[in-house]
Amino acid sequence: MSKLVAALAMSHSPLIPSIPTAPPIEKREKVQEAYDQCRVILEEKKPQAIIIISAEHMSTLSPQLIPPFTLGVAESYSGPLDKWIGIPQKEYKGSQEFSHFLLSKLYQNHFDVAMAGELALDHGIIQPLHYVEPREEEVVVIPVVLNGITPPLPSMKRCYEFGRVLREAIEEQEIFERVAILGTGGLSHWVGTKEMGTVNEEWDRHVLDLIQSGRAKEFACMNDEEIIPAGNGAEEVRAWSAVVGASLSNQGQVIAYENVKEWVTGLGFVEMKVEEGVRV
Amino acid sequence: MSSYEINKLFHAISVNEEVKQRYIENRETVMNEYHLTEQEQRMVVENDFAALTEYGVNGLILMRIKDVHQVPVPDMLKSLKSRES
Repeated sequence: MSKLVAALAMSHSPLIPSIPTAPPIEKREKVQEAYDQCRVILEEKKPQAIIIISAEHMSTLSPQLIPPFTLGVAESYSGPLDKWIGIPQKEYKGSQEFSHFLLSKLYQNHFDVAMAGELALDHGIIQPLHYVEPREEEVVVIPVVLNGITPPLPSMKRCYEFGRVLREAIEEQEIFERVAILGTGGLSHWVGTKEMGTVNEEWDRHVLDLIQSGRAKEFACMNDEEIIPAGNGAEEVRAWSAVVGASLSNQGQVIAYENVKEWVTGLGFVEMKVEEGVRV
Repeated sequence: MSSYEINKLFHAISVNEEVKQRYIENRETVMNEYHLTEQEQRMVVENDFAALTEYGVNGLILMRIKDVHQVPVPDMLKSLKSRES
């Protein structure tokens, strides 16, 4: 029987690999340790496939067409598209069969998700993946890009429900026995606005407290107004909502949090408890 | 009028090296190809980030303009804060 073996949510930043020594050493070591801890979780849980969800950054997609949700159906994916971040180019193996199954299940559950025959992946997926992918085993990657930057955005609740449908799809298929889901983005940060460089640590810790205290759904279904105080970059936490939804749990373990102004973001890391599957 | 053409141009510049090079060599020609109005061209050429923001240009696209025009971050922030009351 197929199952979800890990549900992780974590921040990303192109500045982590591009200016790695900018923050004080204790901060960057804690961030590296958090990514390492996520990698160890994946190495222990041994997923054969990872569904990784990130917000669009106006690079993988374009202003001409921005679906709320886009799922890759390619045999492989390359990245980073934004070469300047300094991570070596790499090709990740995909699975058309698994992607098509996921899409079918999403369509059956009223998610008309865009199908991408090609996706050039940017830092939103490549940076965290580079840091947490298991070192010994090659893992199939299924990328999902959601619109977290160009309003109107899909609601947090919709992203949460998207994750729940993914979970049902994961358990119904027989292609991969062990699947992990990763959501990347956030926490508070501002991109290209006058607040750029600010971190709303209070908001970040509130989100992490909700997750840790068994109120993850409350976070995952926040309304748009509740995200505004954390900046336009915090809209990316929609990817976290999908992870909470897929976990079927209201409880997660906070792995780490660091307010890193040099990387222009609050960085959070969470492992959601994975509850036994129920039908959506 | 909308920010769409500006977003479209700077997306193209960020993913297409040929567009980027032509833009660097002759901004006006490329901006005309992307149908930027005179007002839009002024905001872009003058790195008027506050006006571009009010116009609805995406923050990520503003970062691309900053990069292509080689505007230091402090100068960008100064422009962004210039219309604060």
